Amino acid sequence: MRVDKEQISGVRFMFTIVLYLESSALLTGFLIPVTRHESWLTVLSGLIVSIPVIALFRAIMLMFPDMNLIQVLERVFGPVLGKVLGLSYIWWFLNLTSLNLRDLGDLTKIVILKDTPALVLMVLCIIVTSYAVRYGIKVVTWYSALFMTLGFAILAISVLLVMNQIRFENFLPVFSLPIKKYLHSTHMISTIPLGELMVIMMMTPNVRMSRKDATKYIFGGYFLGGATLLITIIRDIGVLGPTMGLFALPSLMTLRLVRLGEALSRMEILFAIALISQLAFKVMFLHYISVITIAQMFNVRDYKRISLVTGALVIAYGLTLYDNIVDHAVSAQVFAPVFWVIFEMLIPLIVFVTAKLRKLPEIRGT
Amino acid sequence: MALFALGSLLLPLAGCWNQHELNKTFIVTGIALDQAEESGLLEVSLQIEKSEPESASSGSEGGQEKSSPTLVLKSVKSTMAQGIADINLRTSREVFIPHNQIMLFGTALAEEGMEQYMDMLLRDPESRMDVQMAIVDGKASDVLAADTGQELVSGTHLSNIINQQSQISTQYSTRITDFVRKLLSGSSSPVVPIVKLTKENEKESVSIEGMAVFVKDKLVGRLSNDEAQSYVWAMGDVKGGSFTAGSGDNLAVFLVDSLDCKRKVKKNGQSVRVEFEVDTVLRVSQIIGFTEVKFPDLIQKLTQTAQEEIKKKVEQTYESARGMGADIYDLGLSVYRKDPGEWESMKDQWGELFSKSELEVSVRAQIVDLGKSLLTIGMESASREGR
Repeated sequence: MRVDKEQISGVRFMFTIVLYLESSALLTGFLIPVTRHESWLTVLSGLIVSIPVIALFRAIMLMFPDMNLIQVLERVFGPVLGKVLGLSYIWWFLNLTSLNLRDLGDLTKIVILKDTPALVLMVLCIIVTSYAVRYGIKVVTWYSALFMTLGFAILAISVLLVMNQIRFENFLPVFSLPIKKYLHSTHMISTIPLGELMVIMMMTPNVRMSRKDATKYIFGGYFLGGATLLITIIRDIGVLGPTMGLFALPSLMTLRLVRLGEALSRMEILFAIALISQLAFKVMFLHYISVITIAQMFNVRDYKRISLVTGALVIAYGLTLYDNIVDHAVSAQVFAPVFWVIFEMLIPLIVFVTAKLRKLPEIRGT
Repeated sequence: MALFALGSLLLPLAGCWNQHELNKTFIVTGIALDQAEESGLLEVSLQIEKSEPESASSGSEGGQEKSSPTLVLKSVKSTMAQGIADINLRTSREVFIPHNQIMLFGTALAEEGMEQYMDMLLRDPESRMDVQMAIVDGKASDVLAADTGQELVSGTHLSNIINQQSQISTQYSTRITDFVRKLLSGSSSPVVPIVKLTKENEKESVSIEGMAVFVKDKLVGRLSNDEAQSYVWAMGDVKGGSFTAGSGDNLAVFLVDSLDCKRKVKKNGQSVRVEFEVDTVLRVSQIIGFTEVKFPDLIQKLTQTAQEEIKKKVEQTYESARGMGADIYDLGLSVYRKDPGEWESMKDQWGELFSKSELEVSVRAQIVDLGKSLLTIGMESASREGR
């Protein structure tokens, strides 16, 4: 049974990947305490190191072009183990959605609405995303091109506006840290957010593309989105220098320093609204993934019915995930990079190897 | 489309929590921190731009006249955050900090250390890191209450002066982010403009009188205006300004078109050698004397005069900084950036190494413009008499 029968084009699929990574640019702040001004190097190395992982996702998608991840797990591991793994993915997708929803609440509180309770922001966001999820993949990804273009425009304009404050010296010295730090930071960026792209395996049957197009769109989206992560962190290091480590959201601080005379200053609110819109897209996309995963697992014929309930679960879970932003940062540095490897790399790798060993048929591209 | 409309209408609803009504807001245009008379306490002063100049306010404690366009609210508490919270409690409106133009610190407070005050400025979601900082020669709150006659609001007036100077070189201004960046470097000494309030014939004026020099977060000394200028030269990337060079009856005023400086640090056994290579393009604004100089030698003589003056000034300022043990030139930072391994071996003794460092200054000046006149009246007269 396929939960959502709608399909999107390969191009829109690519825009979705780009936007997913673009909206994760705010999270590069997690790297700064580890590799400080050299974090741009680890973003670059993370992008390179993750290429085989993305290739693995692509290979599985092409192997089972008519199945989403939950169906693949049952096909490869059988109904019992497949269901167990499927349940663990439900938890993981809900976890991702809740984390991003909480990020959205925290960001909005820090940037614009400091007195508004995070719960209100989260509830309003989920009402909107639940509405979109009810209409399926087409509506969920409808604005991806618009928001992606908006993201590129924000990045380009912000780089131009802070160009006069970028100091080359802020990038020096290079390769001055112990190798362990580079490995840790590279691993972090590989898991948050590059490895998170495994969520695209839940979309496989909903994307119209050939084998050849799959490579183009998946890697095209990956590199375009990755480039925005790299440029964002280079901009922030160049402008903020050593002060970058002080802030929860370095990108926001960079945008606050934009000042070209009196007229072109205090514009961060415009950027912030755009960034929040991007993050809202990511929450909406992950909410959709969570809903169809649950529907697929429990054979819910009309997944629309569980959209709002799943949203409520995401809010409740999001509120209990961590007590404060420090716990979140520590979790992102210590816990998540280790634990998420299981979902992002280990299980997909076992799926691929098992499928090959069992000589499961490689079905033609849709 | 329905989704877009839903998002656009629903999400802004959350903003109702953070409503700021203009008639219930005190817009802060300047903040001053001083040591309070009571030991261990801090005097926090906020300059508020009145939306209705004649109206009286429930929270006015600054003794401002009714006609003043600003009022100064004060509180004495142990921390800056408590001070602002206390002002909020005692006034009829809520203070709104994002439009603050300047952050002033009294000298006595700066001598005690500034790091603790930076924290609130960095942490508070409303405060901005690009606000200019200044040290007030005396009590900082006096500057907030000053009526300079040039701008309605002294905070804006000061901010404008500093912004204008920063057009010549960004080193003339120190934003909160610049100060914190130097503190975090571990070896660099922040330099902050000094503001002086003077009264003459009942008229008040505020001016920038040199720069305050810090070691870590404590004020340890000051540079005069001339020294501040040569400090800015040594930091390079200068796009303006002027200076007078020469001696006795022979004086020339030069306008700086551009000036750059390469700074090198070389470790020589147990000592450090610093090299400044100044490269500048100048225009001549005024010449006094030089009557004995023949026209073909004029450019060379002026160039030599300018080079000697720049060299002398840079050396004098370096000497002042060395005397204070303040690495205002980011020399330690440049060693770290170039060779972290070498810096590791030097960083513990850097203060001592800098204090004993030797400086070599080389100046290359190029005069590109003499103005409309090629000679002075005196030179022309001497030339005629000689003929």
